[in-house]
Amino acid sequence: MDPMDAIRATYFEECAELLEVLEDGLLSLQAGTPDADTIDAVFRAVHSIKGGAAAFNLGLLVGFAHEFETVLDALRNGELKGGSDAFAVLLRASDTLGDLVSAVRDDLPVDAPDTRDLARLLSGGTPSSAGGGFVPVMIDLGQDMNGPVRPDVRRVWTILFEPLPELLGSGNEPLYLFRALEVLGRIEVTAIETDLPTLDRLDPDVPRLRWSVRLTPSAPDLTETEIEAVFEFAVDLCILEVSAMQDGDRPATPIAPFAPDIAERGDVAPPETAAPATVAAPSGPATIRVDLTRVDRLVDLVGELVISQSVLAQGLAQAGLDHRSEAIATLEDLQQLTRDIQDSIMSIRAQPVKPLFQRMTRIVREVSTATGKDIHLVTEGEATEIDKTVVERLTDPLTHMVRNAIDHGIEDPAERVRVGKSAIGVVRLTARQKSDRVVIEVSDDGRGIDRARVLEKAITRGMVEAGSILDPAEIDRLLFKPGLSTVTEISSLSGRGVGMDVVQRAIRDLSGTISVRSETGKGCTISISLPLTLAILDGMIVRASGHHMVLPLSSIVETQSADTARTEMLSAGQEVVLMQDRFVPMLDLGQCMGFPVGSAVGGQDDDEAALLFVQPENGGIYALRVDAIEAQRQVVIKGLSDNFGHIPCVSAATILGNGQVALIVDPAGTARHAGLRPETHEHLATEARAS
Amino acid sequence: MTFHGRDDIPLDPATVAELLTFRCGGQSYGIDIMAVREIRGWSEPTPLPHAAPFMRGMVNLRGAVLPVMDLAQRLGQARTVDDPRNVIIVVQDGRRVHGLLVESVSDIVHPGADQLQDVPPAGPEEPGTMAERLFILDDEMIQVLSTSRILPAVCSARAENGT
Repeated sequence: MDPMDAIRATYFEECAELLEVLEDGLLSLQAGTPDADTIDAVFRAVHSIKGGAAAFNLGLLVGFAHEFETVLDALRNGELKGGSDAFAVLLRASDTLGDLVSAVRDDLPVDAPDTRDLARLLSGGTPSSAGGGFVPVMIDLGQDMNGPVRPDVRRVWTILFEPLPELLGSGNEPLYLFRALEVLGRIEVTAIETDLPTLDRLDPDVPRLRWSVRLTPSAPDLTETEIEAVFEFAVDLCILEVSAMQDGDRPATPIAPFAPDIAERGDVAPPETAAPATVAAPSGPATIRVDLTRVDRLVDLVGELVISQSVLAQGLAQAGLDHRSEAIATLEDLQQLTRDIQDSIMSIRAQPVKPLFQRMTRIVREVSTATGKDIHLVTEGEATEIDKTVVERLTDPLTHMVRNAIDHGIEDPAERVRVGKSAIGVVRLTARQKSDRVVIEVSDDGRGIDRARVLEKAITRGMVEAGSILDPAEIDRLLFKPGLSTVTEISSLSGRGVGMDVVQRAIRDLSGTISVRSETGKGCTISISLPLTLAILDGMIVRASGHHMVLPLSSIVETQSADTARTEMLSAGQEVVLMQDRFVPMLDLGQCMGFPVGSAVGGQDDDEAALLFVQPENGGIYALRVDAIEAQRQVVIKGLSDNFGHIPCVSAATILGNGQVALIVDPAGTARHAGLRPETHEHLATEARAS
Repeated sequence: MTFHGRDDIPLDPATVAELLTFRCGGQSYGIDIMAVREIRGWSEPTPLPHAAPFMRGMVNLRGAVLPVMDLAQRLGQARTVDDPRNVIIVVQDGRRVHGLLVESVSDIVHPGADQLQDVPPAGPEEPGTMAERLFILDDEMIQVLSTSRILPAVCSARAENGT
């Protein structure tokens, strides 16, 4: 399929979902009392349809959606009272919008829809049921996609590996590391023997050999992180330099051939280097298209497999079987297999962010034409992989962010020249993996956030009390509140101030966090941090108030035993604990969850009680007191939002080996709920405090 | 009051469905059997933090997380006493699957359209009753419940978070 067609198809798929949201919202508004959240959702649905339509130049759709949106905006501001008549008109309008979307999708001829009823709603008149006028309109869909697509460059990596004495001391073996590297592609290992000391000066306890490994990856998109992952357990025990070069270059360091005498000693066997001819052709492996629901079914099944396996393991342990028995050994094999299956399935779902970034190049073109600003888009880390669902659901937020960056961030060319910048604005879109999260950033070199204007706007909108003084970070956070837009005139691009709160909500739904850094005159960076997968989490299983809970391992920075930790009371209910010469706040996990503490549930076993020092994304470190730390384990994440909506302090649930459901604690949400003030101001606790 | 929610179960007198009847808080209720997915024995739910008191928590339904509410408490009565003989009725409403903790399941009945009565206004409109219809079986009043009305709104917890 042509890339443009694929993007267009995605847009219409999204439209179908948005129309559903719209209709559901209107129906529930019609049935009950209007609630602000539903009105917001309805408004955003129409807004998103409009935004996409504008990108595809679907003038008719944009026009109608704009009218519709205006009425919904009035409803949102309370200017329009939602009577049953009004909702009937709105529902009819949502049907019209649906028809329009499908007509445009199927390239059918469409008439300009009747917007008179909508207009009458605004003017306060009574709606009629008269048909619309027929004005055929040409729709231009023929915009081709010729964004810059970087060809795949097969890179050759040079890895310089120098073991420290501790490496061998701790039982690591360079050969195994090289073999692990071999899984990634063809390797040529060369020992660097030029600077070896003579035998009489050799200290047998100090390894002096260094190796240079030339790795020709079998996958063209191999990243440095993946290579470094091979050395994960040896990372502090060796000196490692990983560098990439284009195929054909030779490494700069002169390297002598592999020393044969070492191999003869039996310490290191020469790795079997594959014949160059067997390396897979760069044309890429064969692929099949699979319905995503089938993959998802597989993900679910593996999740259930993992759970039944832990139940089985616990059953066997309880049956009192000997640790050396065959059943236990087989179970361990099974566990290994399950883990491999799990990893394989997760890798099926992982997708590079490249198509997402490609869509943005088009958005940039559109917006730069519409605003008359010259924009240069720089993308980095397109090969970074992330769960498919995440990739799909990032489109809208990223579109908003890119539009905002150009529309609000980048100055007009004339102004840029006046302040001494290049007339061409730069928008940078980067993705990179950072341990078990992916960080995506949109930055511009524009004027930065106009904080005075944001504050003024917030005051006029009644979001902040007049005369209040906010620090810059607090003002920046206002951007994520619904209904704030610093552009006075409403454009079809970005503008009505739905942008950033949509972005924030979408990111939060993906268990991500968002933060903003801005420097006046230099530009603004919005960064999104997302979990690598939505399905599996490395967790610490703890017990608090008689319940098992799971804390994400990635958020834990340190643990201490509760009886040796130095805790102090600030005032009633406010405790702090010493961590590396600094006092940090301390909370009781059970108490945060609102569960009865202490005696009511089996007493506090003080000898088992522990403190977990956690650091939420972009937040300050604090300690969580738990009754016991039970285990460290990979758990399958079971989302709760479909059935429960948002639950404070909890990000999801999981099922433990005994079949019990356990909650997965959200460290940032817990801090917010307990009223801890984030240490760094980038953290988005605004919602909890400001309203 | 008429209610035209999309997921509402039609209770058109002409096409009255089969009802699963059960006891809960000392009273009898009925629910459209088409909304019932299965009936499970009692297992201790994991409580949810900061949830409505009638939300008992979650149980493991073959690898999925099933929310469980105490139906008696939801209907304004006392909390159901923990008892291994209690059962959880798993109901489905649209895409949502929910567990209802009740005392016991009684029977499957198929009342005629003429046996069903409207609920008479017996007090202030709010909070009002959750029953859609009433009928009498063996000298006992059975309240017919609608799943969409019993299930708590999902957005409420989110709205509460924003305060």
